Amino acid sequence: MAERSGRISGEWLFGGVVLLFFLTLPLWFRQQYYLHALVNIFLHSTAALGLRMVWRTGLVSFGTAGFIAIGGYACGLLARDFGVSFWLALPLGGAAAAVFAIAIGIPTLRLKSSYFFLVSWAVGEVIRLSLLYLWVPVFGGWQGFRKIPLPDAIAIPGWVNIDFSAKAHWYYLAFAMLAITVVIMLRIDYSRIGAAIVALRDAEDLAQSVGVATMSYRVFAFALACFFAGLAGGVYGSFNTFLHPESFTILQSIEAVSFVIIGGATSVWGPILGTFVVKGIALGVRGVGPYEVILAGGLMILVMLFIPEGLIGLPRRVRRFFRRRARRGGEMQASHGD
Amino acid sequence: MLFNTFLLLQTLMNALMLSGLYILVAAGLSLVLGVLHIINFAHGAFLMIGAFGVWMLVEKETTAIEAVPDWLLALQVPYPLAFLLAVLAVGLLGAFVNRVLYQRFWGQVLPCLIVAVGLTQILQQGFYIAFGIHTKSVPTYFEGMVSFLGIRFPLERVMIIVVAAVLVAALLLLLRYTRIGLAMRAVAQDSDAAAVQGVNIPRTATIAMLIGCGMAAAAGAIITPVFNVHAYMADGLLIKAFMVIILGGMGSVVGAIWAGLMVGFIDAFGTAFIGHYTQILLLVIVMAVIVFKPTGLFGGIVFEVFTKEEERADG
Repeated sequence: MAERSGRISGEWLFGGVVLLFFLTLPLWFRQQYYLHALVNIFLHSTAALGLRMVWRTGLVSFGTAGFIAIGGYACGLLARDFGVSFWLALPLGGAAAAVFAIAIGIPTLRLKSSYFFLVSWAVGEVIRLSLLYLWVPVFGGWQGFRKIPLPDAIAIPGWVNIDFSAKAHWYYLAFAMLAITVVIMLRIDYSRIGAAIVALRDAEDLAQSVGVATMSYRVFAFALACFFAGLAGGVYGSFNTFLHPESFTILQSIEAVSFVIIGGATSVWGPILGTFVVKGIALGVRGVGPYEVILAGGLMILVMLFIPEGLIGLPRRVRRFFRRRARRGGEMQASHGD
Repeated sequence: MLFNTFLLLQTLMNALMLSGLYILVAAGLSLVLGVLHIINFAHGAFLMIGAFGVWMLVEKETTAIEAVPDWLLALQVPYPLAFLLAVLAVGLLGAFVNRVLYQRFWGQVLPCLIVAVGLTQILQQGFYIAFGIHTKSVPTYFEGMVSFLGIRFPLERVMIIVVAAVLVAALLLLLRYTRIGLAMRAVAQDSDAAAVQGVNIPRTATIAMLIGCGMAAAAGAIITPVFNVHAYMADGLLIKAFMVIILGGMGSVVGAIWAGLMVGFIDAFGTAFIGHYTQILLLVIVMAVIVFKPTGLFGGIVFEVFTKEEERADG
């Protein structure tokens, strides 16, 4: 028992150090290129965290990019053309994506996973093509959606003035959004809803027999996923001040799926780990850039073959492997003793 | 008036060509879906490899924008032989992929889909890196025009229709009249019962992948003179193929023929008369079919569509 509590405090210590590292990073690390990349990694992680909820219900969505686009365009439209403050437009953009997800989800989430995969792909394509060809004067079509305003500054006189002119400001915004997402996802995981969602995937019949309403939980998970995808899109649009439909193709949706698969969906930290592994290697190792897609594809296959619970389950597997080997070694020594 | 008739006939020929192409791509996809009960997302990648195979084998030249390596320039075989070699190589590659990857995930739809997606990413980006960003073109083997009711249509496009018709007819005959075709139909209907009757399921699945991927490669190889060859060339075709198998009923080859004609005609006439909105229209039609008639417009029930709750509610 003592050893167990010791390990938990060790995990807390590790978590604290990591949190401190990321919180103070822009203060002592000033390479703009890497801060820019980290903002993107945080946004990808947020979208992947949402997608993890869908995967936990036993489905996979290939339309994430479309919902990111809805969030981005809705948030940008409200901020640019209607003069709504970014801080209100951002959650409204997420809500727009969630409402669209509910409208799509209610008729389609009862389908088998292979059909839902096709529906989500089609939805993502419809969104991309609509942004490309419909309401061109508003959305910009092939020209892209331009001149998205920066968020209003957060200023406390004499102390801070975050006006989003520096990468570090965006870094903190994206990091805060990811942190809030993590906290919400952790709360859901340890709640009745989280337990019900896992029960649905593992034993749908049993879950239904004890009164779990399949559809409402699936719609909830999908709407939540699309809400966070929309949030990520809103920040992404304002960060770049520009959006283009061609940034939201099936390839981007697959990328989001790959982060969830590679990192693992059993834990909240899985998709974040997956994003950091794929994007981090592509960022940190010179010349890997074009191979990032191959890396993601290869890791997806390897994870599916050897560690279906994702890279997040790797430490436990390694630990179990060594413990088993130690035990076997002990048995052999004992038999020698006899 | 003359102009309208001309446009109409031209669009009709285009519709037939697109239908043939979509049917050819979808038939292989549908066969694999029916027999292996998996969604072979890598079908488009196999098509792309077939097209690249032909480009690598036929006569080509170093252009101003791009140097072709010497060993590739040395490969110069006639187009029909290149076609056969590409189809055979991709078919074997498909059978190999089935043995090494897909068989491990028998009966697991989502993990197998994920593996297929990963494989697609590796193949497409691999070809993209290996052969550069410039699109390739293959000189046409079928030169000349076909005159038909006063319109002239390139022979290379007519050949797409011909090859699609021949291959799909051959597949239907194979499914109907041979032992392996019977085995495939049995596995598609109920793999457990087929296994009890002594059908060698891994072998049947491997042959289905061989044929399915070979047909994808044939589609890729026959369109090389008409469409440009590049690593992501199959993305648009793959989504059309999925539209066809949804409209035709998943896993039904006969349904794929009717649905392929439907998608091809909507695509060609829509693009001619209402432009880009056609693609949105097609996707909306497909989504509506999934929601209101998920078993497809033309096929029988091959796949279970709903999760268990709905089945009970329906029955």
